[in-house]
Amino acid sequence: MKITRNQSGNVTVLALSGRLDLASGATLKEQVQQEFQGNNVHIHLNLTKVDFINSSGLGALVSLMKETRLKHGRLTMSNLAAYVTEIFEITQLSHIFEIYQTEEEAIASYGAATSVQ
Amino acid sequence: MSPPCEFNKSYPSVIRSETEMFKDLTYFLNANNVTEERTRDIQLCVSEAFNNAALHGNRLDPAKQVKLRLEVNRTSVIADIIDEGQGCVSDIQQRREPSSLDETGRGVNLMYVRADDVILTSVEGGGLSVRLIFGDNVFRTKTVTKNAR
Repeated sequence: MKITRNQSGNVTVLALSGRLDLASGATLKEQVQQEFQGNNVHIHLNLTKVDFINSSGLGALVSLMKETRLKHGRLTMSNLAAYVTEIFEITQLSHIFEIYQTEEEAIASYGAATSVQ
Repeated sequence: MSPPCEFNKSYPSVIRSETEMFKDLTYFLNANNVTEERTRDIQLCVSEAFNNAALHGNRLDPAKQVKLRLEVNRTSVIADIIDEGQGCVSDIQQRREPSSLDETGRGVNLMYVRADDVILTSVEGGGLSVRLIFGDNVFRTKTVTKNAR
């Protein structure tokens, strides 16, 4: 899996490409750990080019969600393909993650959250 | 040249084997005209069974193998995933349902939802065999063979 990194204000955007499975889930977790070490605690995952996810990939995402919450950050996702969305719904994980239709909507939500505070 | 009707391979129980298995599986399914939708289901279910075999069955012992056998017939695709561990059928049947914050435990449910049939068998001498059957709307086209004149 390929990971492309960008920064949008205080949000680190990681665009994932390929499969999110056992091996690539571990790679993603390592990447996010590096972000945490750089004090980047708001992480957005763009899943446009993720064409496969299994329970190991889901487990990596759950792990990342828990870790970002511990660091008082947020983990959001966007642009899920139809099949990936189905897997989230089968496993009833679609309601525990913050999932947006587009990256723009997700990034805007960080600004809105800051304004409310 | 006819596509392969059967595939047999053993993989060491290491994390990188999942990638190699996935490539082999995808090649086999494409060569046998499996639809895109069912290819995704088969990829998902086989990867779940394969990872369970490597992680939980064989405990990531590289000396232990995960065997993958694929078979295509007129109506279905059958996948057998066999480990060399100490687990048994009841370990899976009596598994606890994962909570929303659990990082593991969802793979077996996904297999049961996306495969048309799942058959668990204990292997004589040790190990667990998972048979996955996909029989609904599997193939893209039906091959009609005309007799040569």
